[in-house]
Parts: sequence; structure tokens; C-alpha cells
Amino acid sequence: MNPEEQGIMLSAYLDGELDEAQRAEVEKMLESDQELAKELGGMKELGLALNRALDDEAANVDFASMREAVLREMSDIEPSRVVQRTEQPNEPKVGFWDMLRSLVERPAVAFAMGILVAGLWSNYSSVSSGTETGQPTRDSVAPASITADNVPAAPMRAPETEQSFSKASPSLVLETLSVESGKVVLDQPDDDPDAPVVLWHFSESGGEASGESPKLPAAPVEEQHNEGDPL
Amino acid sequence: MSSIEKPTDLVPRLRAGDTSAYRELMQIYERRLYAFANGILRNPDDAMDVVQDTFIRVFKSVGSFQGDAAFTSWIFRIARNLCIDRLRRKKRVQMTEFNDALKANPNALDKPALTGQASFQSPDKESLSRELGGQMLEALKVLSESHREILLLRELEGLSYGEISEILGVPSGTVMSRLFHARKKMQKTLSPYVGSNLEVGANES
Repeated sequence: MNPEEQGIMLSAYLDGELDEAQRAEVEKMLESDQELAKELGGMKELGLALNRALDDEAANVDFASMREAVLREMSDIEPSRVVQRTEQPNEPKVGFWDMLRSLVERPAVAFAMGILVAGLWSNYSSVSSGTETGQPTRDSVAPASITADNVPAAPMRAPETEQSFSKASPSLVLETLSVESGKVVLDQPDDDPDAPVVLWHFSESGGEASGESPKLPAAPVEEQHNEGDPL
Repeated sequence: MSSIEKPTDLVPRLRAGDTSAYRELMQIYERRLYAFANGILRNPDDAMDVVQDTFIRVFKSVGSFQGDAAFTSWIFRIARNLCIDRLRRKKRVQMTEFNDALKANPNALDKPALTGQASFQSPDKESLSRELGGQMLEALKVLSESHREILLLRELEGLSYGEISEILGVPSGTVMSRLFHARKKMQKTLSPYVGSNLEVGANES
């Protein structure tokens, strides 16, 4: 055992961190080596003196104002409320905005809300343009009806490409939305405001309508969603 | 002191936000934490700030305290981290000041530096006993941060190597080795006093 190893063992012996065999070994060395015994005494005294010095300094400190400062800070935080939330089995009440946020985070709900907003916007723009140009407004198309879960029934149409749809169809494109696998178009015949709104889905490949998206059936078809369907 | 509960017994009351439990816990640990922080930082104001911040952190996060962990180790780990943060901030400031001073006076490094060792030269024997405490604390400054914190956790708190290892995130073998080297360095720094005054102090107590 070299001097450093011996010192480490001695230090650990002082701290009571050696096992029985190691302790016996150190005690044997201490009996035969006076220098080692002196070193052990020095280590012990060092610890006591350090303890005394730091404790003396701490003894003169007034902790009362620190305590009050901590309590003031804690009275603002109210930790019991935070802790109880994790411990109570009952679900805490969720605020309106939290609920809305959690809903928007679901893709299906977000999509439905997007369609609703598109419908509202479309109705608003047609109302304003109609008013400006003196054209009759389309009040009969209630924006609320253009939602993902209550799109009115519409006859099946033959598949069209996006190009042919925009050029040839006498429809009014209410809104075009980009989705993961192409585009969705809200469509309504231009001359019939009472006609049902149709959702058209165009895939990215060649503009042909297809059923690539798992969320939408092959398009163009009438989208009939039941409440609770994942879009 | 007999009316004060064991720290772990206070945990449910702390979690419930019981102000009297806050007070009791502070009374148990404030002096020990202060001595520890003061030993590391060697600045009474900074040490007091660390104690205050430690308690606030403890009370804020007592909900996440795992009952199987030692409460004292947990508190000292928080205090130790706060001390380290503070030292690092100070070092950054001091380094900036040092660089600024060096720019202003490029010959500054030619002068002999005042180190902890220098203050131990030619000690007056009559004042040794009176000054011993102060010198002891000064000697702490000579130690590296890692040696200082390990020495304080052991000598002040009497924590086991396992507990120190948990607080510092190092193996027990490292604790054992660092502790020996920290003691050795302190003894060397205090060599003018060790063997005479330390023994006097021991006889007096």
C-alpha cells in the first residue's frame, strides 16, 4: 500500500466508512506507525476546528428576518394548492380556454373547426360582396350548416380533376383548404344557393380525385359525416 | 428542541402548506445550511441568500420529494446547487473584471499575487489561537470547489460517503479520495497552526 492509499484508508477509517477487515488492517498499522497515528489525530482535529469556526460564525447570525422573508414569499405561492392537485383523485375543473385548447389539439376536431370557420368566412364575404354590388345575398346558406358533421346530402358526381372542376363546373368554390394528401374544396352550385354544399377532395398525384387520405373517402363524393367520426 | 419534529415527519405538513411546519424546518436547518453555504462561498450575505433560496425551493418542490430519499441529502443538494450557481456567476463577473483590469494595466501580473498561503506567513504566536478560526475559514478558500464542498458535507453535516455521493453525483470511491486530498491540503495550508493550536483547542473543549 503506497502512502496515498494509506492516507485514503486512514481518512475513511476516521469517517467510519471501512468494512471490518479494512478497519482491522488500519488499526494494525496505527499500532506500529506513530506517524500514521499522528496524521489521524491531525485529521480529527482539523474537522473539529473547522466545525467550530463555521458554527461560531453561524451562531452570530440573526435568521429571523430571513425566515419572515421566506414565509412572505411562500404566502404568495400557496404551495398547498399545487400539491393537492396532484394528490386529489378528482379531476380539477378545467377552464373554457383549456378545454378549447385540448379540443383544437385533436386533428379531427381541428379540421372540423377549420371547415366551420371557412363556412363562416365564405358567408361573410358573400354577404358583404352582395351588399356592395346590390346582388341578392345568400342568407339561405347558413354557415352553421357547412360543418364536417352535418353536411347536407348531395347527389354523387362523376370524378373530375381539379383543373376541369375549376374551369367547367358552374359551381361556386366556397373555400379551398390544403390537407395532407391534396386539397379539399367546399363547393356549391353557383345558381342555387339552397343546394347542398359538397366537399371535394383532390389528391396531389395528377390532380385526380382519389381516396388516398384515410381521413376522407374517395372524392369527389358527398361527404356525409356522422357525429363523432374521426375525419 | 424536543418539541421539534424530525424533518421527514414535517413533510406532510409542508405539503399542506402549514406555516408552522415551514418555521420548524427552517429552525432545524438554517444554521447548518448557513455554515455550509458560508464555508463554500466565504461571503455571509451570499450565504444568507442561498439559505433563503434553498428554503423557498424546498417548500415549492416538497410535493415532488420522494419519501425514500434522505431529506437532509435532498436539502443539501439544493443548497449545494445554489452555491455552485452563485460561484459560477461570480467567476464570470470576476473574470470579466480581471480581463478589464489586465487591459488597463498589462503589468499587473508581474506583482506577486496575494493568496491564501501568503496570509499564513510569519504568524504571531500570541494571536494564533484567536485567529485560528479565521485562518481556518481562509484556508477553505485555497481548496478547490469540489474539495471544499466535500469537506464541508462531511465535517459539518457528518454525512456518510453514500449520502455525499448522492448529493454530488460522484461515486463513493471518488468521495473517499477527494476527502483525503481535501484534508491533506487543509493541513498543509494550516501547517503553522496544526499540531500546536489545534491541540490547544482540543484540550480546551
